[in-house]
Amino acid sequence: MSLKSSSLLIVDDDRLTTSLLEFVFSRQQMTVTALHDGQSASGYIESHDPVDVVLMEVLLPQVNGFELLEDMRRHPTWKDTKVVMLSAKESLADIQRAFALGADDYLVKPIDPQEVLARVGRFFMRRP
Amino acid sequence: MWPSLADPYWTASFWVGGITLGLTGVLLVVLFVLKLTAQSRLRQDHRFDRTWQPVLIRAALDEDGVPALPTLRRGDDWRLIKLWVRFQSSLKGSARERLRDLGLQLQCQHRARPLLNSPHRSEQIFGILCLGYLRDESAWPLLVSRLDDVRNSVFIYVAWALLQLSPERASPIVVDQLLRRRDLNVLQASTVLRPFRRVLHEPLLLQLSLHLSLHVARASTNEAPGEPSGTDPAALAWLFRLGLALGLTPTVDTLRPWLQADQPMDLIIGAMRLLQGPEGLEPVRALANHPDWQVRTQVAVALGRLGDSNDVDLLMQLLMDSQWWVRYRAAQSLATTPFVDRAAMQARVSSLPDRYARDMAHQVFLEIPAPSW
Repeated sequence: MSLKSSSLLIVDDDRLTTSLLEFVFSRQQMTVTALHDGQSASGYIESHDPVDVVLMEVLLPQVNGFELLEDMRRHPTWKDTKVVMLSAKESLADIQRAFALGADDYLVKPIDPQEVLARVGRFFMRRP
Repeated sequence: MWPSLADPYWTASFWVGGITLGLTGVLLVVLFVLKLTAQSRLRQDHRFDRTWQPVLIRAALDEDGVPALPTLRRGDDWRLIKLWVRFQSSLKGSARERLRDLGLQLQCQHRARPLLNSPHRSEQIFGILCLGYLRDESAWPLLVSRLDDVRNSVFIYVAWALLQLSPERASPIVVDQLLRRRDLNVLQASTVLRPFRRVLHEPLLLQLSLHLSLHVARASTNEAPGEPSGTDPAALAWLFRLGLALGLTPTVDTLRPWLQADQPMDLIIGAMRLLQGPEGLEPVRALANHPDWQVRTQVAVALGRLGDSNDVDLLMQLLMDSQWWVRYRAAQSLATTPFVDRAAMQARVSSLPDRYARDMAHQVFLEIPAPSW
């Protein structure tokens, strides 16, 4: 499995960050879906097949990132999806909470697009 | 019969009614024009973002150089600065540097300067942020001239921009201003200045050592015990607060003079909050019986943060304090201590003779799960 032709869901209310990430991952020929609030993401999870990776902001309107992550980990088909949390919140407590809820990675904003790409790419690497 | 306009009451009513109607009409027209203007501005904003957002994304993320630039229309300067600054604040690493190159190519430094004279604070702040992100040395005098802006929110961004331009040169000036502005929002200052914390530590420590020298000089003149420390306590307390917010870690010896029971309460608490490492434990333990409950509360917090297994007994004593806050903080420290496991701690607490201490501990133990180490 490679980045190419895999699918990514971005959930972030900051449209600038979303546009940046869409550009970065579309260039890798990934199928990218962008949503801007927790409720839409919740609905998406219920009505769609799981994607390969979710990039999700912690602070989201309506349903926050931690709640979404909890929902995802309880969901029968989405529970194994790789989730990278993105946030300007950089306290140890937030990072611990994200990992305790089942996040696979945590990135602090502002973002370095190359770093985000590398972190997501890691999920598709074959170990030697 | 109709009343005549010659009647002064009718004349007055006629004119009042007419003028009211006229003013209402004018107000409606003004509202309509304002709505049209706002809609037109919004359309122009959308048009600008649609055109320029992909350009800025490509410039930031494409290693192949800057794409072809669209023409900037008159009046687009503010929109460009706003969008460019928002991108800068969303990015780090090489993408941010490439975006900076584009900003210089677009002469953003010249477009941002007039914004500093705008009557709108948001435009001023975006102008300041733009000059900071560009790291344009020639903006230094202009930014320094804005350091004494009475509005703290503007000052803090000016400080940030100066630190962007030259951290070493800016840090003493910024610290001097930070110490003067005691009505500053410390949380905002620490958030905005977070990337420059380290560089601000040196001038902050210098200020602290100046206070220490004054204190030592005063002590050497054999002042009676309990006399003020020879420095302005309010200034020193503010320095402690700033230091804490900016992650300052002074040595215990620098703080020791203010960890004495005869010092003002603000200074003892401020110094205790700054303590790091077990070297500071002795003066903290000595304050456990201080007559001021606020100091004892801080002792309970500090023992939880720095204490070792020998401090469990002292925390038990503080758990039986007459003040609710002291008991509460002592219970929190006991709940998170790694030296006694939760079951043993519950047993020890249950054997305490003080009912209030037992209740507090049981409540806090329910709130805070046992540490997992």
